Amino acid sequence: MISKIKKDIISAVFFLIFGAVIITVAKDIPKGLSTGFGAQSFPLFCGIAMIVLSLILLLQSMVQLKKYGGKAVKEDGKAKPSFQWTFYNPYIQVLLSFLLVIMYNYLLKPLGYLVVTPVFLFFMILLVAPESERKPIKFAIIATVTSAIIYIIFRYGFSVQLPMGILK
Amino acid sequence: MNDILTGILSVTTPFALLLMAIGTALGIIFGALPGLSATMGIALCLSMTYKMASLDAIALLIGIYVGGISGGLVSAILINIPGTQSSIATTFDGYPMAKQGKAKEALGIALMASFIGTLISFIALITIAPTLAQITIKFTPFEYFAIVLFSLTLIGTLISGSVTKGLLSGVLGLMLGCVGVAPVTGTIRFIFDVTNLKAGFSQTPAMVGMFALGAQLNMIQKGFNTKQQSIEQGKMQGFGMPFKGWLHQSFNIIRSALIGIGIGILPGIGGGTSNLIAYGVAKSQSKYPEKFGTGIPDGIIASETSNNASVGGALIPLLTVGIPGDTVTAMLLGALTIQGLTPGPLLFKTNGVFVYGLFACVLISTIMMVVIEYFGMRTIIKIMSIPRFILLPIVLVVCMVGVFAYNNRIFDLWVMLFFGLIGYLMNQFNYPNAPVILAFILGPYLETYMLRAQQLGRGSLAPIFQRPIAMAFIIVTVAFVLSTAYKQIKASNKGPGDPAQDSEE
Repeated sequence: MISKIKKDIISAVFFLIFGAVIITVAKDIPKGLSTGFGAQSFPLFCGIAMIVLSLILLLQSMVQLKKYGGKAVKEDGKAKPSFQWTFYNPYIQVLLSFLLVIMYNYLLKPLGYLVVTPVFLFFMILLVAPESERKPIKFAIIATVTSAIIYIIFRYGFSVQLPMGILK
Repeated sequence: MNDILTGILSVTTPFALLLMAIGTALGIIFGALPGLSATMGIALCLSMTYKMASLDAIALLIGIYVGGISGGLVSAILINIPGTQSSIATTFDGYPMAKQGKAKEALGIALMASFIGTLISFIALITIAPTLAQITIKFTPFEYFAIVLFSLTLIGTLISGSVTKGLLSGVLGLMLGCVGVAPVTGTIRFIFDVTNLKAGFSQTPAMVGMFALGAQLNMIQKGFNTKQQSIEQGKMQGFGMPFKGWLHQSFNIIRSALIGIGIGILPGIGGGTSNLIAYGVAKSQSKYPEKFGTGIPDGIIASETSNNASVGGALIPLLTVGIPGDTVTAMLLGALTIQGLTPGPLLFKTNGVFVYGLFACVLISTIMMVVIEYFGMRTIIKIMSIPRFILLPIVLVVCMVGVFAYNNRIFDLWVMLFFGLIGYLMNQFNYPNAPVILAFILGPYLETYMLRAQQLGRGSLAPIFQRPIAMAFIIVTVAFVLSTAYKQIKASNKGPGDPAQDSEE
């Protein structure tokens, strides 16, 4: 409960700042119309709405924090497991999958689809597979075959030329 | 009349039928697999449709939509896990029935109920939509402005446990939609010197990012359930009950279908809500409510009729005013835009062939759904046993390749990544995802209508007060937000309950 309220407060503060940034940027957008509202109006309204809503959320969270604060702190203290730097930590798994996608985006053109995709798929499956199910050889075969099938579908089914990279 | 015939003929070509069959089968599989959804299925195929003719594209996507809503029943009945939110209530009576060794009957009943539900909503669609289009064609930007505002507010309010957070998600989506060229004026804004952003964030990468990458990151966070569920053997044989039994259920069927259609029409909620409401109503109106939950056909029928009936319902606002009510119809709107079609009342006049072709697609995919689920149950069950830690990365790769192939632009992959990150963070902070995407798509429309309306009103929006339909929507919007907020405040003051409890996916 308490961590949920904390998250609400963090996000409310974020949206508050975000709303303020929008308003500062939107102010200077050229109007583009001779009458009434212009190109700056809609973002301005959004920024104002965002600030109002995040203030309401902040208020709500503060009220709740007051109400639940006292008793919830205790349960929170004991239930918190320490952060572990292993591959099985879900946060690290999310971070690594994110990095995998970033690398895919960077390498797709220079190295080519047929090189990058099987490797990406292999590591992605390896990363998310539970410990007891990790079979690298099986995953490598699945990754290669699937990538080939996807290539054929896109190349011949949709006549899309995927980047060839170093295989050109 | 001519349009109707041409429409039907143009979706009964072998290629369109094949696409529909593929779509329906894919939809059923995505629906049956917990963690995958029809939304993801459409995200997967969206980028493949841009080179197709418009009706071929819609044939594929409608197939996924119809199949995806129904597919959830398989896992609901056989492993007690709803494949999609639309089948939550199906587990209540479906699984107990399967446990009693009557999996066959349960599947048969659910399948038949799905079929009838879609059929009834199909009838509603083809009768209501053209009539409504004749009314909405007279709408001015004032009415459209009010209706889009109403839809967005409803989406933000209904979808999450907290009105404030739902609306914040919506406003974030509106902001994301502001990037690039402004509507009406053509002013370029918020691009921060990134030339690729001039046209704004492309819709397809954004949707794929949020619903494929974002959803997958959240799955990874939650961890994959490695325990292999024992799957009850399911083979189809007949439709669960003799004809007399179905006749006996006719009132339940019609009531559940109407609930489904009504909820489908409302923006923000669809099959995921209607199945629970229809189940609740069926139970409270029943002569033997105590039997619900023990494995009786009534419960399965209520749930499966209503969730499929929402399909036809949700298509009504999409076609008559061009406003998607949920994420799936939002993607359909995206697909239509790629095809250069603007959904709305004009479509009935200018593209009657397309509209009637779409209607025919709904009907044909419904029939295909029955055939595929009836004869392919064993294959569906086999595919269900493929581990998700293999399936999800494959789905992700296909989505990424599709996003790239759409414009042959690496930049689109970065947009996908960006929206994936937003989707992940929103979920981590207990914000609903759907309002972001819907507001992102509807935002430019809202702004366009606002600017056009004020041009008509010579610099002011005041004439909106003289327009009864527009005013009615505005009043309902305000009343709705206030009453929901009031209910939530009351509930949170009430004591030890969990007021911040958000509806989780």
